[in-house]
Amino acid sequence: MTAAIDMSKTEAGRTEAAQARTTLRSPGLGQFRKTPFRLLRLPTNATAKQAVWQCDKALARARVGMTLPDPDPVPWLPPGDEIEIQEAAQTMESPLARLVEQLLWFDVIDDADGGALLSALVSANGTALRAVLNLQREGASMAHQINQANLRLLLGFSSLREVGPTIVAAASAAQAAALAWQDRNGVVTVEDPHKVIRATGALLGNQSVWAWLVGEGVTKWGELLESPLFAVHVRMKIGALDDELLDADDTEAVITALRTRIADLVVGETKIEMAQGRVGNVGHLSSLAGKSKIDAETWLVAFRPLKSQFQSELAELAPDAETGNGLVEDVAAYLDRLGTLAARWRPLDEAQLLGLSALIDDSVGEAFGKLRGIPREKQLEPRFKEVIDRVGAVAHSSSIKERVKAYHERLADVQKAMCHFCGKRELEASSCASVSSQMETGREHYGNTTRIHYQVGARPVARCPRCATLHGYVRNVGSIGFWTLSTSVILFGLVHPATWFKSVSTGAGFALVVFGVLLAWGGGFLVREIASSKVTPKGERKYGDYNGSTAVEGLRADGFVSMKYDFRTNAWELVNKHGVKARHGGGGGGAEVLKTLFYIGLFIAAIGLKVCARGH
Amino acid sequence: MSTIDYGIDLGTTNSALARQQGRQQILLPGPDGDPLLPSAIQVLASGEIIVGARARAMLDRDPANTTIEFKRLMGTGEKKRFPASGREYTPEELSAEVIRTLTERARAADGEAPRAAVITIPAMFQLPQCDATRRAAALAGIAHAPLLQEPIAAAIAHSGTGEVRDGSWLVYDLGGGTFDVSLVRCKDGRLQVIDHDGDNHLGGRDFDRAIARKATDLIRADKKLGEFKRTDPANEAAYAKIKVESERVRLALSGADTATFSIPDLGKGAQVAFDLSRDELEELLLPLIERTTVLCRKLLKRNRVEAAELSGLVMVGGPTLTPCVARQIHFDVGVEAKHYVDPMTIVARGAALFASTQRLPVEMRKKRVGAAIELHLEYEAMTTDPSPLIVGKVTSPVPPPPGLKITVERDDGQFRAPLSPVRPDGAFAIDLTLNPSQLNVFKVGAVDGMGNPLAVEPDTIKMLHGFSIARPPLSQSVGIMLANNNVHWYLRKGAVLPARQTMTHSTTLSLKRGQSGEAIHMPLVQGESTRADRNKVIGVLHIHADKIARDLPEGSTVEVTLGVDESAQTIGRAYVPALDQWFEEIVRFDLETKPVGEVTRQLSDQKDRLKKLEEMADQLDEEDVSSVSEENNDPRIREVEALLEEGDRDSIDLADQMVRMMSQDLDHAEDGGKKNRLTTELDELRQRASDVINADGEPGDKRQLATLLVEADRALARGDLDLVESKIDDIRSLNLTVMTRQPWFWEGYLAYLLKEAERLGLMDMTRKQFERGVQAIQRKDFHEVPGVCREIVSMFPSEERERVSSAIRSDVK
Repeated sequence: MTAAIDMSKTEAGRTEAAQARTTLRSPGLGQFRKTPFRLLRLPTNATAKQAVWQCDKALARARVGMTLPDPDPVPWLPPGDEIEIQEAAQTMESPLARLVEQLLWFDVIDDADGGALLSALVSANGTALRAVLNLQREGASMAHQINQANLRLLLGFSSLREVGPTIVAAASAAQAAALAWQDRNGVVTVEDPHKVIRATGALLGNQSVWAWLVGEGVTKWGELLESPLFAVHVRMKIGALDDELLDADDTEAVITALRTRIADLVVGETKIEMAQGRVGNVGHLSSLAGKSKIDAETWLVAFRPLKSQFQSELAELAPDAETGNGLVEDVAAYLDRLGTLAARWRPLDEAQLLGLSALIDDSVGEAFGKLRGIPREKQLEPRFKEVIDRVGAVAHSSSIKERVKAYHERLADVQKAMCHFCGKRELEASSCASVSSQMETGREHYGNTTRIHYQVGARPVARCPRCATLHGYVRNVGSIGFWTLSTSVILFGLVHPATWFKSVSTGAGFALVVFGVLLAWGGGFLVREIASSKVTPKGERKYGDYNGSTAVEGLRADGFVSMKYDFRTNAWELVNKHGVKARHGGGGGGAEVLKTLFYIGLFIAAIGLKVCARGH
Repeated sequence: MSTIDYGIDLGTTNSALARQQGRQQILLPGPDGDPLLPSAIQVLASGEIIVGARARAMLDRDPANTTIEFKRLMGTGEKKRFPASGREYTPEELSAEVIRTLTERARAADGEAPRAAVITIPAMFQLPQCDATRRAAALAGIAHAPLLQEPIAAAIAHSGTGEVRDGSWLVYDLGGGTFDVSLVRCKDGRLQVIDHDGDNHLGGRDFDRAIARKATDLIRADKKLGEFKRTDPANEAAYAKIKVESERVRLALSGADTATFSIPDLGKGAQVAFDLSRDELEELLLPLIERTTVLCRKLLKRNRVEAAELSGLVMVGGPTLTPCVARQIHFDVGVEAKHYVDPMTIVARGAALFASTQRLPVEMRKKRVGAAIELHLEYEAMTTDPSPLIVGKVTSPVPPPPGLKITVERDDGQFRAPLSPVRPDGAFAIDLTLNPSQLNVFKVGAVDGMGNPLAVEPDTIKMLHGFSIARPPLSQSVGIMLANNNVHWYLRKGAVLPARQTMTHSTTLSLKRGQSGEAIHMPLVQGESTRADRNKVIGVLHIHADKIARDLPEGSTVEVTLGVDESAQTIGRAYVPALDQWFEEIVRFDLETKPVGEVTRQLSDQKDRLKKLEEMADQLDEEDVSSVSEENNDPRIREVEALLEEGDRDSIDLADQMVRMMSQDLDHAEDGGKKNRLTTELDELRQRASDVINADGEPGDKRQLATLLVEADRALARGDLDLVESKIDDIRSLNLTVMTRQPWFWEGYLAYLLKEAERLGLMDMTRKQFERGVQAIQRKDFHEVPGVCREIVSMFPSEERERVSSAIRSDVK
């Protein structure tokens, strides 16, 4: 202990101490380090009674600094302490726990290659262990298959933690097969391995070695757990234990416990890798879990505790509580951050066992919710649409992408329902302008009479109350201009100085008045245009810009050509009230009456002028 | 003497001391010849402390200055005040007096009071209670006091006496204040406690409480003593008399068919008298005994053991002498219940037997003066191994003479170990051979290089062959509470002691060096619930800002190690790799005692949950859920309400315990069958949402629904239940969105709000809004109705507002 403390004072010592701690914490190595069969040097067929006796002896020896006389089968792992030795003995007394430990250890008794395996382990010789790894035989005993799976796990986890013998792996299974292993009187050798190295260029690095070994170990275990022969093997082992607390009915419990344990080992290692910031290894571990034949449900349950660590990382990205434009930009930035994180997480969870996609989707869903909460007029801006598209791009699940698509469609519908002029507010039926048209549909001739048939059509031009009010104002300004000028012209015609226009005849005078009125009409139109350009906000359509409206497009689609536009504040209401025909020869409105009265007045005024002229 | 040998049963009602002598346990009697010492204390005006039978006799005459059952308050911060002397004592100080009285018996018998003894505790004792017991022992002069769980002690006594064959047993330990049940097995002489369970607030005194309740009901009906509240100090003497009389009647009914409960003078002319038959008593006790048998069945089920596979059930504790207990156990559990050994002293005997396997600390061992060579010997004093090993080390301050060899010879002369050379480091190991099933005594010696004998210390060792005891298991799981209210379990219930575990966590906040008062807290919890707040917090491990070498950012790794020794003593420490520092400061907590109001509020919460669960069970036809709801909780609720009505500290603690158990059962019921529940929920929602969305939804809604259903089905097939829940929420939300676009939805919702407003008497206030809503519907202006509904909801009281708003999600169509 003192030595360890001294060592820890230096940087190198600290690193070494940290690595030693990691080795001790490693669940994968812990499985092989703390198993009773190693700590108590027991064969796999040892009875509980023998385990207890051996425990007493091991403890007594440990307390005076002595070790058990038998060699350590995994000498590169630290020895057990007093508590671990006691726990080991207790495990042996609990039949279910013991059987799980037994199956995750090396059965050198029932494996024909057990001797070679044990001697390779005890010697901690990488080459010898590599040779044992290649002793995979067709139709080998169950004990052999279990040993092969366990050896891969042990060496894989050792390689991950950088302890124990160095195992050299071929770059691929095909290359591994190319190594010509031969058994010569019990010694397994390979014929000229350098030939293969030369051919392939290089062997795999340490990172790939552990991933390869652990991956194969987990896969082999996945296959074993699915195999009916393995269930028979477990039943046989249960029978051999001869313990009333465990019978053949518990076979499934043992298999489930093994499945859970293997998942826990991989997840435990993943947690360490996460804590140490080795995200690449996290990806490797979750990926090999996904490729194993152990069911997804087992992995999902095992990986669940890790989710909280990812959640906290996600929580750090949360957007500020902005509103309005700020909110859109804030959410956009948040989505960018989420996108970056999602891209970083994607390789970590290709098998989708960590649930990282769901975490991202939850956050994307929240961001989407925030966007939906902002005012409608803001949602119609192009920037909003860009951000909404970003939601769909970052989301992983199809349902969120579908939701974004549907929202786009709804926005397009809303867009149609927006005021044609300002494009910001929703239309209101009572405020809509109208556009109407008529087209000839046929003629009938009755002697000298020809009856022409027309089809009339009218559609509302979408307009909000504000724009209707604005247009009403513009119209009023124009009307006031026209009436003021035309009245001035008529009055001037009636009461002009007697010396003026002496030589002008009545007819010419009348023509001049009419001309004056026409000028007044032009002046009124000019005033209306000036007013319109002054009061219409920038970026919005002017009152007369109705040509691009859906109403006009609709009428044109129906075959109408010439359009009659009415922008009075209640134009569409008037159409609904009086019908389209009123606008197209079928009847007169109040304005038409006024116009008629005006022209009658004009006519009377002209006669008056003529009479006055005669008097002179 | 190198082993502890003394065992103390520190009981709620009675205590006892036993000593192991060879293969026998000797109970040490008091001056009156009775090995049982009533756990009762009277403090006289002079300050003199009376312990035992004399104090117990004063309970009804001087209740204010006499106390019993203080063991139930161990580990709490409560103090008992004795007005005559004006003194106050904590429960551990009172327990220390009991222990001291017992050790005086040893002094009288053996000439010296023991400084080490095994003390028994209920299996379900929590860590603060264990700590309090250790403190009590220390106060009484017991410097070394390993704690042993009572059912294990009973099992040891039961199996160690050679009365029984190999097999499995239930040890049913019903003490004065606690109940424990253990599943033990003996195989080839090895005793192992497989598992245990229990209730810290159920014992013989609850039997007496049942009788006392009948008496108090009669007294209240008589009205001479008014409401006769237990919490009223004026009634303290009357309640003490009732307590004593209740116990007397219960004991009397163990032998007779009827007994008369009679207290002629309760004050103010009040009295109470009634006959109680054995049948009536059994009826009163039945719910309490059933609570114990439920735990027995649960224990067997958990360990997949059938009652028929058991070799028997051993009853321990005075209350098991009540005749109906054995019969009811037989009826409920299906196994014959017997008293194999005296149920009152079996625990003390077992403690002594266990003590004989426990080595005394080196500093407490007696040393012979002038011994030439000191040896430190390691061996198991009790073993089933016919060829055990003895290992030792020479510990003399002077180096051992060259060529030193150790000799060991059995005292019957039939076995002599080969001379064992001592290694240069002073260590040696010798294989022994034991006479089977008996006590083996060995003489230890040494010879130098010339073969001259040398004296050694110790020179004798004893080993009992044929019986050994597995290490005791942990009675309740121990873990660390996480920031999200989950628990990270370090040591699970049943783990063999001593046990230790190290795990890695990340900090959820940053810590600035030297920030006054700031710290990272890691609460230690004990219990079985996955929700941290359902368990008891037994201490908090701190990393204080003023003790860190530099700033610690959020997300830093902390390696926490928790360990529990055989005596249930917990140690915890944290290592922060970023700082390269260890932190070991644990603030330990007393057991929490809650005020009556809080327990009442929690009970109300649990009733609400129960109601919701019952509704869910009706919908899903879930057997697990409905069984939790109906079978257990109705009587439990009644019992808790009765206890809260009684209002004394002990009753409130018991009520609190029962509410906690109820919460855990409800948690379990809510979590259990989650997959089935979600499958049913998804199927129902699939139908409902398809109907609505296919009829009224837009194409986009239909596409969304189809995608969501595919995703939910896929998640269900993978067993990703969290994702299924999330997808169900999404489908529900989509369904609601579509519904809220439909006029019929708002018509229905307005009608629903109308009904609610009438029920809450809010019609006058909301009439105008309802009229507006109705008019809007009549003129088919469905843009206005949602706004009207929102206005109406905003006028509801806040607690109703949430309910009627949530009705949007599920109840209205």
